[in-house]
Amino acid sequence: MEGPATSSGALPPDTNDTDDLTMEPSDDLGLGPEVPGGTEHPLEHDYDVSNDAQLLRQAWINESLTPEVLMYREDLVDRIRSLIARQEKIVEDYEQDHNQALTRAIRFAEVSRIKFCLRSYLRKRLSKIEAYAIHIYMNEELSSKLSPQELEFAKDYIDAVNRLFKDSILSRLPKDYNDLLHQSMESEAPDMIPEPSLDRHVFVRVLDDLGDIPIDDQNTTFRLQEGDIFAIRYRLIRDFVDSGRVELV
Amino acid sequence: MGMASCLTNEELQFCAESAEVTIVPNFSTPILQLVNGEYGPFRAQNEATVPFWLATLLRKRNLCRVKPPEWMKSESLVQVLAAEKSSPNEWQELPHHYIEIAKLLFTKAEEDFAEFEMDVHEIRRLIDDIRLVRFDKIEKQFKQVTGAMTIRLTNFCAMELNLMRNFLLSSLDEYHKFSKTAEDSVQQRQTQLSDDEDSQEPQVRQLR
Repeated sequence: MEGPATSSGALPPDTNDTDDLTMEPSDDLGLGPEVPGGTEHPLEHDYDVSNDAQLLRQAWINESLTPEVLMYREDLVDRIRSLIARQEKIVEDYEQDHNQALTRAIRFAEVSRIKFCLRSYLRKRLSKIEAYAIHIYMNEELSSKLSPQELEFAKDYIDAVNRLFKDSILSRLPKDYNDLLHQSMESEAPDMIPEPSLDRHVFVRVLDDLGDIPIDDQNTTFRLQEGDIFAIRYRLIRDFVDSGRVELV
Repeated sequence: MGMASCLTNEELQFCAESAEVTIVPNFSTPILQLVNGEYGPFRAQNEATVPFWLATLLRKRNLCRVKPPEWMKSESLVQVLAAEKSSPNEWQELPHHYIEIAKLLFTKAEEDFAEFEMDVHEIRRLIDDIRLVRFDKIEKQFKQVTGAMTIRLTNFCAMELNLMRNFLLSSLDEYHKFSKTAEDSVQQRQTQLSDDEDSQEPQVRQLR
């Protein structure tokens, strides 16, 4: 279990269990080519960046552990992308400067960690989008949680799956049973669309006193105090995840 | 339709490496502006605070000594261990990633303990004991989980949560499904009294 970015900073995080980490970022999904950094003086720091790396890590962990796709963190991803571009430019600029070899390696290691986090964040979203593509695509509120690129991906994915099933299986099934979304022609509403179960339990840490929240239909309430960790049904704290008042652990 | 929502040990370690630690550098460098914040200025032999990933990077190049954090002092570990043993329902407060951090220091900066007058073997043994006592307590606590409920797990650490994640959370999922089915059937059988024992099942349990 070698930690990421520990050796000379030249290696991307070496998590060897999923291929999501070794693949190149896809241009369409948030990690495009160079984002214009717009910094003439790369060493000048004119705005507060102290929290973005932490926010991204939190968004990534939340996305890893929630059953449903969360709201796309557009602003955060944009800021992170320009930070990455800026730091990479600095690393490039000092390539020949041997006095800067150490700080270069440090910057490189940090950027590798952030890129890993961003990629993993985007890929965890994609895997949930794949699993629940139709469910998300058919619901306006859920679709609004995706980035335009993710929405396009969902649409293409649905088309591809549709085509595949039609060609390989559905066309060979009896007439009333050959639909992708309906179990049979008797079901009026589509009843074969996978959706995430919001009643799944999760571990959360409370970041902000939330007072008493109802946990069932019998008016039982439960106090969520700052710093506490709970095993709780996702549905009960769902709204607090997007508002950043709880985080998943 | 369950998707495995779990973290790998590598992901946990990645998170742990964002925590900060004190180092004593043997080089000097002005302030370093990183995405995550400002670090330094580094002056030889003066303590500085950096994230673990940076500490291990420097340590690997022999550019610093890592100072084991306060909670790792054997006196405080002895106290934590005693408290863990004496109270089966209480969990002592430790850093959220204490297991990962300990492992990181034992593998990447083992020799540094002696320089801060700390006995690495004793510390390693104490942390191992604490870890085992806590895991043992957790297993016993599982017996209290007898229905759909919300459980308080304050002071549980990342690795502990991750280890019990699948087992505990999927048990709770199942209990919740059963209790919902039980409620539904109660509502359907109108003749039943509303305070059926199923609906009176205690909903909240505090494991702490």
